[in-house]
Amino acid sequence: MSMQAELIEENGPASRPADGTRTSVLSGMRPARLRRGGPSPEELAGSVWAPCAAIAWLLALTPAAVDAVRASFAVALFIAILQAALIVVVLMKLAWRRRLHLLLIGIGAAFSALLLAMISFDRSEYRSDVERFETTLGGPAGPSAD
Amino acid sequence: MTERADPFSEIPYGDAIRAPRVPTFDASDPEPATGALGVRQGGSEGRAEVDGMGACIAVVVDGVLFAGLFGLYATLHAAHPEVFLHGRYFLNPMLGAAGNSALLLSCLAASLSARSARLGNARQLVAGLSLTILFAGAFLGVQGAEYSQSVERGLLPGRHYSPREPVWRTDRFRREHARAAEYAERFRPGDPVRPDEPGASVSDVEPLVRAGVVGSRAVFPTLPSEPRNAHVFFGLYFLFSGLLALHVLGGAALWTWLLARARHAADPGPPAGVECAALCWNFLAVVRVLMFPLFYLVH
Repeated sequence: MSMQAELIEENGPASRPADGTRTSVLSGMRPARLRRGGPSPEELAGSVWAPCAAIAWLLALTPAAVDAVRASFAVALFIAILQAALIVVVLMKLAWRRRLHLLLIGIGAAFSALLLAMISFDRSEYRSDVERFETTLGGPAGPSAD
Repeated sequence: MTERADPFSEIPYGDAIRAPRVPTFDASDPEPATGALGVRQGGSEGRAEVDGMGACIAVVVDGVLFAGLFGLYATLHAAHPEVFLHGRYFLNPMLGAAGNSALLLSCLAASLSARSARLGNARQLVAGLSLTILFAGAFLGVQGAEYSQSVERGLLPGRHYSPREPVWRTDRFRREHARAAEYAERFRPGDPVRPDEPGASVSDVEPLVRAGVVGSRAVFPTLPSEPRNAHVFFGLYFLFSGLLALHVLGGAALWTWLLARARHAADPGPPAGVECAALCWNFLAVVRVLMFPLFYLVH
């Protein structure tokens, strides 16, 4: 009997090893690393190059935004949003590791967007008051003026 | 008859096909229970999850706070764009970019510190934390230099606003609109040079009108002056940058405490503290990156 057959016999598909891995029928080998309790510290820590590359891009994009504003302010804003996205995706990865974190950040982003939207749309409500204030030399005269 | 191969046999079913476990608080359990939202309970991992959740809540609260400020900026900019176009000539974008770079480098050091803490490398952790504090100090130094320049030039918010020089004499305005600066400089009340007269085209005067120096939105419509409520720009600038600087100052204090703990303890401890601090720190960089074009580059 070959060694492969021995291994299959020893750790057959029906048996469940203590480390939570199953022996392959084809190779007769288990995965090299034990994966109990989620990813390893190395996987959680991530590569050292990812944040370095992100920061290199961020540093390069800052003067690029200063130059780009000569063409259009929208380009500079787009670069700023790109930079913010780089920071959130690459550097703030802890936030996305768990569903609860994602939920919290998502709710926060939704509330921020709602606030900004309300401010943007609400401007028309008091625009006439602002214009009246600007056209009045001494400012608003108060309720008695009406 | 040959045995058929199981194509899923390489998958470790401990992770891939894990049934939800009943929550338990047994400290000796090597794999704490996972709740419906993926939060682990009990042990150091559970503590890390709680810390991470606290950091996320802090980020959300700060996010809503700064979103309100961005909303205030949007409102004021929509109503009075000339105030922002006027104010930006007094700020130095190179100094702002230097502050940006210092905070971004600080973020890199913070991220590498979190990585070192995760890997349990105490030496690299101390080096990373030291660099984080160093770059945070550099950012605060740049911010202090900006504030010092603003105070010297009388560019303060509210009733303390009393600029020492008009906008057309600033280096930035002269560099960007040399002819408009010349026009404003040689303007005399008794002998006004109108845009339709020889030597002054409409395009020459346009930057002055857009910045509220002359025109209907200026303090004196027929004289080169400044826009009404020009102090609003500096009020908002000091509010934004001051709040951010206070956050950075608080963050630097936190980094210093983490550094002291990492230096004096044989074991650097769980990485959750450093990771959560890095998360909040990176959020400050997001705010700074978004704030930079709104104040220094606005057109």
